[in-house]
Amino acid sequence: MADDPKEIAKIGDALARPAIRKMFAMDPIGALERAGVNVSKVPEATLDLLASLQPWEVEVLGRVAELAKSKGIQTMKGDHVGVIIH
Amino acid sequence: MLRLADMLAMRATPAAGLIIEVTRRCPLSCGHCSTSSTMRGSDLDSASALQFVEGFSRENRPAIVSLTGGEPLLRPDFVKSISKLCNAVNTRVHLLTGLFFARSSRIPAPINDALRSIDHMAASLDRFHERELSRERVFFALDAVLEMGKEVSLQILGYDESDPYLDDVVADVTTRFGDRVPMLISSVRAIGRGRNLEILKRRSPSKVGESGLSADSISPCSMAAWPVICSDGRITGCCNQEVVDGLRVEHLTLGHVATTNWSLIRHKMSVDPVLRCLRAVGPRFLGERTGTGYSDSYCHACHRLSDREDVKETVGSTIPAPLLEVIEELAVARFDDDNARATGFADEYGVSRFAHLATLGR
Repeated sequence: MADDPKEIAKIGDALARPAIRKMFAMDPIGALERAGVNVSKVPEATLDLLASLQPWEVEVLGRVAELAKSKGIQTMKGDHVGVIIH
Repeated sequence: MLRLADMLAMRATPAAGLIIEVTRRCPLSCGHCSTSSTMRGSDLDSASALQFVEGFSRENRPAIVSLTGGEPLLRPDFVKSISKLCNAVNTRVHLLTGLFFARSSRIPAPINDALRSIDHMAASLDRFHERELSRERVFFALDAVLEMGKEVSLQILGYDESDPYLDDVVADVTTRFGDRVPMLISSVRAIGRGRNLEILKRRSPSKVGESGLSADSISPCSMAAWPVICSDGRITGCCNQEVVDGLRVEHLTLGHVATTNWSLIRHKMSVDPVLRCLRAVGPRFLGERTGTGYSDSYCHACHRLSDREDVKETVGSTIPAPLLEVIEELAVARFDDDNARATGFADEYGVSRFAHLATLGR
């Protein structure tokens, strides 16, 4: 994966946008560049990996990214109590 | 030093922490108690738990051990022994208490010693606790522990986000302590004795999802990150109360404290494919994909995954390895500082308008 966490975070932000996800399906690198990701700072292996994702995988990744962007990666209220509630 | 924000920032990191249910006993009778604790509960076996913690090393240890219950300070010597072992390898000790001891004018010596041995005392405060112990006595205990040079925090519960009790108690705490006492504020749940609370029974149930990939099916679980040593010695991969209470869920069962060690548990937490998928996308998506179904209850959707005998193989292969890797990387990259992580956690698992109070004092 990328050496630069900021660029990875930007990839997440980009894929959180449904419009970018649509573009990504046809032109992964172009879509990321249009979303402001500096692809030269992202290792080639990472770009290859992203480009190899199936459409449903991009959708899942995008949904996780949306939640990460809006709420942090912790996204669901379960009935967990061990630490949160006495 | 261990601040509340440090702890919350690490809460979603696999095996960064270990929760130990020291006892199911508690001398308080709070009407909302999620563990239904009474003085008749069982204690965790000391010898096997201490042996397990002795297995920590500086290189391979949880960053945080959280002692909970019941009331862990009913076993002050055990708390001291655990703390001593943790201190030796630089693991920080957090303890959650109902402050039963603050009913007396002085803190009893064994409890005083136990409190001096830990790094952070979190105390419960809500209208139910206040029926057992006055707010003033809670403040007395906080003052005493702050004076020891320890970090303290409050875990405050209201009925819901708009409960005026929360505004009242937050104002009181900030007036008395300024920014020295961070607060994690959330809502009472219908768990344990909380099931009997009329006000919770009147709450409308959450919307049942539609079939297929429903809008909220992607919902990563941050709680499948820290293992729990339950008071009966089982080690689970999650702190869901039903599981801690003894519900057998295959994919959340990691072993028994008497027959395993930290290295194995840490490894399982980090690499187990089901736990990784739960953290990445959550149980509802996995249920939809594997045929165990959507559930109105988030945690029940997780429990039902084990209805499949081949849960490990089926669920574990739901998310292809490269996608899982990208999702995990995204999670790490999202925040560049601990305060943002802590506030994000408090926002999601607590009352949003008070989430900022989790980072007080930083």
